[in-house]
Formats: sequence, structure tokens, C-alpha cells
Amino acid sequence: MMEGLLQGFGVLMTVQNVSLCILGAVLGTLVGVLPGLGPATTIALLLPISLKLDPTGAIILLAGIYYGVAYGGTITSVLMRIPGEASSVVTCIDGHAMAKRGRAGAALGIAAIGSFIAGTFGILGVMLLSPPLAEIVIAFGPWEYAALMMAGLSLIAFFAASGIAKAALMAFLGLFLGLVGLDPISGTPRFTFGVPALVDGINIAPLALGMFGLSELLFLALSKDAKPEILRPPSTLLGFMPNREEWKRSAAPIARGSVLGFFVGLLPGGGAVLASFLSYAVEKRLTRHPDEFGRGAIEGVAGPESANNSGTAGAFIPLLTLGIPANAVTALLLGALLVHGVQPGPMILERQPEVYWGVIASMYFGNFILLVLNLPFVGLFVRALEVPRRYMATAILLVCAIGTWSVGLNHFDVLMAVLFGFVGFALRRGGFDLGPLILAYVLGPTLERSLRQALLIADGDLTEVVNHPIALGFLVAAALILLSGMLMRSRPAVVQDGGS
Amino acid sequence: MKRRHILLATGGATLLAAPSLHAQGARWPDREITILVPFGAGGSTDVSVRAVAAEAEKTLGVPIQIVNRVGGQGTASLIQLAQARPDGHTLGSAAMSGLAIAPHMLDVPYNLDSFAYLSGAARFLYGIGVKADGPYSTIQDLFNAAKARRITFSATGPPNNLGMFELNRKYGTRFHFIPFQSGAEAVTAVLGGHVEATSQTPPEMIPAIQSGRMKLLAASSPARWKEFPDVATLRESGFDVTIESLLGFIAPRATPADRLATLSDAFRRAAEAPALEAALERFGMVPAVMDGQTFERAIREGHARFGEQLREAGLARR
Repeated sequence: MMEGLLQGFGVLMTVQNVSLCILGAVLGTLVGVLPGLGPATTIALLLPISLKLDPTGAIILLAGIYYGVAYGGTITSVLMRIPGEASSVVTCIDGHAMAKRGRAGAALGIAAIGSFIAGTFGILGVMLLSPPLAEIVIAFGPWEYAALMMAGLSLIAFFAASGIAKAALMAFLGLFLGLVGLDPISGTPRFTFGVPALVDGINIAPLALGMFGLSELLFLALSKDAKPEILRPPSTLLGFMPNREEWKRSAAPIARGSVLGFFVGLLPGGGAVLASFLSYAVEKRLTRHPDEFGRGAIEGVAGPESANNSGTAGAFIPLLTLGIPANAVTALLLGALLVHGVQPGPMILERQPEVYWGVIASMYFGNFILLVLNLPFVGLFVRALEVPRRYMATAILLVCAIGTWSVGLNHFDVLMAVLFGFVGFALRRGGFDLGPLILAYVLGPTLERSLRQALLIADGDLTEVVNHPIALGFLVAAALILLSGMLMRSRPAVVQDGGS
Repeated sequence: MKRRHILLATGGATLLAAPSLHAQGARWPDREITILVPFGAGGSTDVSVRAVAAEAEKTLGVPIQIVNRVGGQGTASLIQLAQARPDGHTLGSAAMSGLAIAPHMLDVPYNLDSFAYLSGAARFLYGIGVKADGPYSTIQDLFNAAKARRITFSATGPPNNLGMFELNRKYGTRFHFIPFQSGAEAVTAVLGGHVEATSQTPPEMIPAIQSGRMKLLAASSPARWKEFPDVATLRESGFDVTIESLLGFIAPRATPADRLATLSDAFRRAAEAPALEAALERFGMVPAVMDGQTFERAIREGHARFGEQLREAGLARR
């Protein structure tokens, strides 16, 4: 083990590979900061360049981008309430509320530190537990995934600041949006209205950027204040950092988020997004300051931001040991591995140890680089809030449009983003939370596919689920989560910032 | 590593070829050529096309640019190609999926007559695998079991699943298709015992087979797998079933004949290059060099055959 790791650092510590690792981390952070310009697009753009590198160098570069994005995505969530990535949607809630209270620096600082701790924990997990955890992934069949997704969906009970009925309605809308595209079983188009661009479904970029980003701009345009609020950044350097109280409150959420995120991230289908929502729900349930959730509770940033980072690391286990990509980004990484003649699978450790350990070592190093890179810049990022909002709004609009377009080089996606912008605006004015919508949109397709696979295998017999104890366990968990979320609601209502 | 050398060599060849082009201005092609690829960068189709294009650049003497026009299950790039200016500067890579399968399932504004066929380059390999410690050790065992009862198998979609449908149709077996999103997930479902068999391609199956957890029972492509030369094809085992899927190059129909001839020749020669075989192998393909007519005939036969199979399986659009 140590030998392998040393070998990995030996592979990494060449001028070329270290520079590639830093380049990847920097690019990834930038990509995360620019809403819409997702990691998948960036990796696709860089893939042809990476072909000219040796396999290890190429993977180090691409992986650097992958986890760099998980850091960068937080920044816009906190500062502008625009999630750079779907896994940062949750951070918008309390992260942005903290920024409004003047604690943007603390939110960004704790996110960076939490991410570093969680990332390191995740890498240790990948290193020590890959083979046994691969067995868990193998043991998960359609029933288990379907039940896990049900448990994930039941988390909406914790995001129902405006009432469980409204949250359920949003979840249904999210599920519906996830239905658009080809039927996963028969391959026939559904709800595409003859539009070829809809055949592959609705992309997350126009949906998230429209619903969150553009709707935020509409609220801004509508506010009559001549001087829209400018969040006053602290005057001293240390003022950007979390204070003692905030540290104390964040420690446990970071630890829980790291563990939860890692195990949820292992399983393809929900990954980092599910991990962040789950961690938020857990923290909301366990906190001693329930009244602060939705108004800038640091636990609501520390937990989910740690969870999505260790989830990012966890996703490497099915990728490296089974060749199963957990999401669009790891799918591209898989392609990159194959291009370079690296065959992911149970044999990778024996066949190409230099690639395996090189990637692990680069993950340690990349995480460290990201921390060093991010902390000093927190102050700079926070200063962005001083830019008059009318200029900022124009820039955001432009970046959102370019980002949306760049995903599929498709004008239709930009139109969709605008449409979702107005829909999101109307929903938020109506007091609906958009978190459940995004969660359901992300989990819905996996739920549908798994459930239908399970029923096909069982020849339509729903009672077959009793032969799957893991699945039954998740269903019980789903019921408990719903119940616990409902009980919480009987306490004094928490008013969530509706963006207005 | 080899691949890097190819790319470097190509770059060099392009540089060398550039001045000679200025000398004889009448020669075509005189500027870069674009190939539309229907799938994302880094996938099997993309990488294979890049490998062939790198070879073809040497013959044509102009750079070839690869544009990944992803979408519509591989139809978006063909829609764009059918409408492209037919001057020989916009070409497409084409596989059975977009040309011979998708038109049966989706409403697309092109048909087989929208294109001119340049050449065939590669053939995909397929195989049937089961869990290594499971009850089946030969294809005959699996076949007998499927005669007696319903056997579930995982696959990503057409054409991977069509071989099993064809067995059902010809021999009355009861193989039951369970769709999975990716090849690796389909293979993992077998390892976990969630389905009983899989019909997939080498890149996902080989790691599972080599680690001793999966057994390859038969190759369902026209050729055996290079890694497992002892495993016979379905046809060799006495079952008249094979999955034929090809990768080749096409152009808009109205492209001038002399340019088509130049391109066809260049791409056919590129597919013959020895360096290509190694590149294709990583993605579970073997070279299948064909001229334009042969490739067109294969695609048209595939279109008819897949149409029939998809209709019988209830997967074709009504």
C-alpha cells in the first residue's frame, strides 16, 4: 500500500505531471466559477489535447479539472445564488443567506476547508477500500437503486420550507422534466413535441442556470431600489475567515458530510448531488440552531460542501475498478482512459499500477493545491460583490448564455434557459422552493430506469422486492425520513429566503 | 504511446504537404475537411474516426477537423450532414446506429438516399457472457435453458440486443431483454447476479472475463475475439445468427463524383494502415476495409434486417 503510494508520488513528481495537476485544478476552479461552463464541456474540449500526453499525465490533468470544479462551483452559489454545478444547489440556500449577512468569506472559507478535509478522506477511502467497496456496487441491482432513489426523493421533506405540499408539487415537476427525451426501455421519444433537440432530454445546464441564475436576475431587475443591496465585505483579512463559533459548529457537519458523501458518491446515478442534499437534511435534523437554517446556518454550507467533494472522490471507485462512470464527467474520464489504452477494471491495480497510483497521488496533491489556491482568493472573490449589480447582472446574463450554449452548441438550450428563467421566477414569487425540483430532476431518471428494469426482470411482480433486503432497508429509511421531516415541520416554521 | 507518435507524424506530414499545395493550385482538396462525429469526444466512435482521419490527412494533404455533433441518439450529426454544402469539405462518420437503426425508431428528415458512401473502416465485435461461477459453461447450456424458461440478459440497446432477439425468432428461445444505460453497467449486472447473461462489446467485457468473474460463451459478431481465439462465434456453434455493425464514412449525396472518388480512395487507404488496428482494438473493433459500394450495400442490408428485427421486437416506431 505505502509502496504503491510512494510509486504514485514518484510518477507524479515530474515537472510535467505537477504542472498538469496544477493546470487542471486552476482550470477546474475557473470552470466551476463560470456558471454553465460545466466540467463535461471542458474535459471534452481538452480531450484532443490530452491525447498528445502520456496516459498518466492526461488522466492527472482531466481529474484535476474534475475535482477543481467541485471547489469552484461553490463560489457563485454563495455570492450570487447561482449554482455553478448541480451539486452546489443546496449551498445556495444557506451559503447565499450567509453572504447577505456579511459572512460570505466565512461561507467560502469553510466550504474550501471542508472540501479539503472531505476530499482527503475520500481519497483515503478510495485507496484503502476500493476492492471491498466495488463489491457493494456489484451487489446493487435495479431493486436496490430504485429503493435508494426513493429514499433520496423523500429528502424533499427537509427542503419544504414553504410546506410539504408545495415541495411535493415541485418534486413532481422535476420528475416530469426528467421524463422528457427517449423512453429508457423502448427508446420512443416522450414529450419532445417533434423537437429534435429534446430527444436527448433536458440538459441540467439550461434548467439550473435558468431556474436559479436568470430568475435571480429577474428579481434584481424588478427591485425598484436605486441602490440594490451591496454586501459589505469585512475590512480585515482575518474577517474573511470563519470565526471561532463558526468553526466549532462546522466540525461535526464536515465529518458527517465526508463519510455520507463518500458512500453515496460510490453509487452511480445520484452521486455528489444526492450526497449534498442528504448531508443538508442530516444537518438540519441534528442542528441545535434549527431556526437559522435557511437564514445562513454555517452547518448548511459545511456539511453539503464536504459531502459533494468526498462524493467526487467516491465516484472514482466504480470508475477505476468496474469501468462504470457515475456521471457525464466520469464517463469522459473513462473514454480518456480507454484512449490511452488503460482498461479500467478489477485488474487495473495489477496491470497498470503506475496509472492507478499516479491518479491517487495526484488526487492528494490536487486537493492540497486547491486549498492553497482557494483560501487566499476568498477575499478577492468576496470583493466581486462590490461590483455594482447592474454591471454584474449583465455579466452574469452573458456568462449564463454562453455557458448554456457551450454544453451542446445548441441555440435551443439558450431558449430553454430563458424559458426556465421565467418559470423559476414565477415559481419563486409563488413561494415554491426549487431545491426539490432539482433533486427530483436528477434522481428521477435513475428511479424510473431502475424500477422498470426491476419489474422487467421480475416479470412485473412488485412483491419480488421482499427478496432484496437492502432495497427493503432503503424503503424503510424513506418512510422514516419523510416522517422525521414532517415532525420537524410541526416546530415553528422556518421562513426561507425566496430571493425577493 | 503509439498514438502519440501517429499524431506527431501526422503533424509533420501536414506541414510538409502544405507548400506543395500552393505549387499546384488546381489540386483538390485545397483546404481543410470537417468530419462530423455523432458521439462525444473520447468515445469509441470518436477515437476510431480520429485514428482513420489522422491517416487520411497524409494522403489528402490537408488537415481534417473532427467536430463532435452529439445528440438525437446519433441522428443530429446526420441531419446536419444531409443539409451540409455538398462540396466534399463536410463529411460524416456513420455507423449502423444512425443510418440503419435510428430511422426505424425516430422520425428523422434523412434517409439512406441522402448520402454518398465513401468507405467502410471497422467492424464492431459482440459477445455473449455469463457469470463465471454460474450454471452455464457453454453456449449450448445457455441455449437449452432459454428453451425451457425465461432468461434475462442485459444490453445497452440495438444492435447489441438484436442477436438475442434473432435467436428467439429463429429457435424459439426466451431471452428477455433488460436495457442498461452503459456497457459497464450491463456487465456488472451479470456479475451481481441481477440478470443471467449479457450481450455486449469487448471493452466492457474483457476486464470482467480476465478477472475470472465472467465467462465468454460465444462471439456474436462475424469474427472471433482476438483475446479469446478459442471461443467460437454463434454461427460456428451452429446458430444462424450474427450481429453485423460497421463504421465508415459518408458525404452529402450531391457531392461531385470526382471528389467522392478522391475521398473514398483516401479513406479506404487510411483504414488499411497497420497502425489503425491497434487503435481500433482498444475499443473492441477490428479493421473492415470496404470500398464505397460494398459499404453502401452492407448499410442497406443492415437497414432492412434491423428494421425487421426491431419491428418484431416491438421497438420500431409505428
